Amino acid sequence: MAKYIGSRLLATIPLVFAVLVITFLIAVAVEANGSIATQICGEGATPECIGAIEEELGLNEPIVSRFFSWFGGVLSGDLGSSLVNQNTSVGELIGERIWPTLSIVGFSLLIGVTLGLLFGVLGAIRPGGFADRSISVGAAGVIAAPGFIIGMLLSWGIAVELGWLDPVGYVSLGESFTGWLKSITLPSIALSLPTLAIVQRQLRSSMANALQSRYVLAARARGVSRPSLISRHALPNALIPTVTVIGFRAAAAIGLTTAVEIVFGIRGMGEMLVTAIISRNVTVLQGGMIVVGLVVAAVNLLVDISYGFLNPKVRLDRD
Amino acid sequence: MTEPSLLRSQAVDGPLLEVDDLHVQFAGRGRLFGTSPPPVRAVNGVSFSIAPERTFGLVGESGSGKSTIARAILQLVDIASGTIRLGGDDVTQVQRKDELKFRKNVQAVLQDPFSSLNQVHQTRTIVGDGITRHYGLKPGANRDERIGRLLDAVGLSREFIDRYPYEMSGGQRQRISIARALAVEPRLIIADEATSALDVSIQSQVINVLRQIQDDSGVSFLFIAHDLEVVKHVSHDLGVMYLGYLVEKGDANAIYDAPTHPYTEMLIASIPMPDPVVQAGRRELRQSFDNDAEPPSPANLPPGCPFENRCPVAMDICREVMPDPTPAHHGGDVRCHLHTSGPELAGESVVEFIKTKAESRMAGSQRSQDKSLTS
Repeated sequence: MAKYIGSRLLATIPLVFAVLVITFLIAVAVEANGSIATQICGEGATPECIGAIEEELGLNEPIVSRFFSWFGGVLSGDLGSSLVNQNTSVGELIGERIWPTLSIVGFSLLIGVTLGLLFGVLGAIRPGGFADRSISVGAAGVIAAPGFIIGMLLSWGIAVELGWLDPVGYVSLGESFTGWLKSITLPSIALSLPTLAIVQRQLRSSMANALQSRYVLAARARGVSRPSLISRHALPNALIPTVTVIGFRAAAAIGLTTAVEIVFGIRGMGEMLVTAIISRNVTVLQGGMIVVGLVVAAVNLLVDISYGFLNPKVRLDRD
Repeated sequence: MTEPSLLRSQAVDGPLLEVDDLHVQFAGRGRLFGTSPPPVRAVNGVSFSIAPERTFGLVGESGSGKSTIARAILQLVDIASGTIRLGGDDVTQVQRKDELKFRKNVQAVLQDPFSSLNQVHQTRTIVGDGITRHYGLKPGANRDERIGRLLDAVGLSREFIDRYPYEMSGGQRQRISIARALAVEPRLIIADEATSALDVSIQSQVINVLRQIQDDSGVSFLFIAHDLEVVKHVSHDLGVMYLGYLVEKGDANAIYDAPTHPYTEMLIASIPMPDPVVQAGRRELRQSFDNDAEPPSPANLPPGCPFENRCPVAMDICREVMPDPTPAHHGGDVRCHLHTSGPELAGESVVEFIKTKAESRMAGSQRSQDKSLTS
């Protein structure tokens, strides 16, 4: 298993490198029409100002040497400073923005995966039964409705009408734990529903297949109890394809968080990236992309490692 | 090779398993509108018994109800009517609390060794599960030792204890299936097409393992397969299934040598023989059967004998009445009108009768051909 985890870790390195190269090339593409310097100098930019900025940022150097100096900066944690507000470093900005996003994404995955697995098993126990049909209809509805619509409905119903939770804003974990939990609950639920539905659909079908299989029939003939049949015989097999889907959903949730953050007025990574795109704030965009890329790579790594635990065929070595 | 303490032998008075007038039906799939189709009659009035330390073989085509009988005995499908007795106790009346006791006595080896083992479990879990369930022995050195002895019994080395199914060949997997069934020291093992998915050479190895186990432990087998040759080889008694009916049953060798049902004869004729002279005779016999006819659907069985449309010696009565079992020369019985009407064979072999019929028919068709040439 250690060998397997090591090999997955090694395989992540080229992925991360590719993310960095692509991120760098985006800056090159944006600057092709001289927009970075123009951006800093403002609308009526004088050629002197542009020249000075280009000199300062090293934009006139050859592309390869620029890549390596930028790459060196990234490796040492220096992501440059915001083009809009020269006094803010991108690293600090991200350090501020990443926590709300990680909170919402993490909590939404926790809710979505837990309930998705639970409802998936419930649906598979009696395929076509009342529980299965009700869950399926609910799941189909949730898959059809985009997260931000559900978010708006939740915000209106639970926060505005019932007044149980605040409709907007984020309270950091450092300030107050209950405040933090309250502020992320609605956005997390909104973000978790598609995950819940898709995990449920996947597990229900792979679980129903597993329960129909001959090894489960053989286990029944041996007198294995019903709970053990489900948890020890069918579930480990049914989880293998489900984990793949969970991985996809984790990556997708990071993308979908933008809409949810905007609906709930939370200043997180998603909101930061959209603002950076609109204001052509290339350094912030680059920093954000690197962080998102790293998180997605980490999720993939986790999925791969959990394969190793679930599927003995995937493990390279034996212990 | 096996320690006798592991495999128990204990005498039972009378037959170990008695199946009497068993019927199993599957409801037709209900439609949203209109009437639901008639039920599929998978097993129709099947009766047979298995004595301790004996092997009863069940043959028949796919869909003849063999596996359904296995599943009915294993309590994995509901029966429509009839009784199944194990050591005199009606197993269809088994209460939930006694289910485990029943399962301890009856175990199964299923058809496909690739899908009947759980791919995420090691042999230790696959075989040890039943030991824990039925003897309360938790995983550990003691249980491993028992698993090791079971591996010895099925002729696998003890290293197999921490292998996964994907690391084993078909024959090895099937041995694991057998070890898994043996683990609870059952009185009866139901082998449902246990060798069908294996290569011929591996088949014989697995069959030898089964025989060895029977000699050592005195377990009884219900051996189900579509290959008459294999079934005859392992079985003391033989039953032939056709569309849910047990059309012939009796001593395995006696049936093989002198079948009393035309369907059994057809199965025997389809076995290829190494001797070209014998093979030529069989081919001739085979050609006398109308092989193009499809068997009727089990959802829509005819009132008469279901084999009638494929039978070379069918009579008018065969279309109308399903024959009752009549005693046959091999000590069992046969469900065929030839023994009570028409030639009234009275339980004797049907081979000569079919042969003469076939010859006269061929001669007849030859004559009509000659006639059409001359006219």
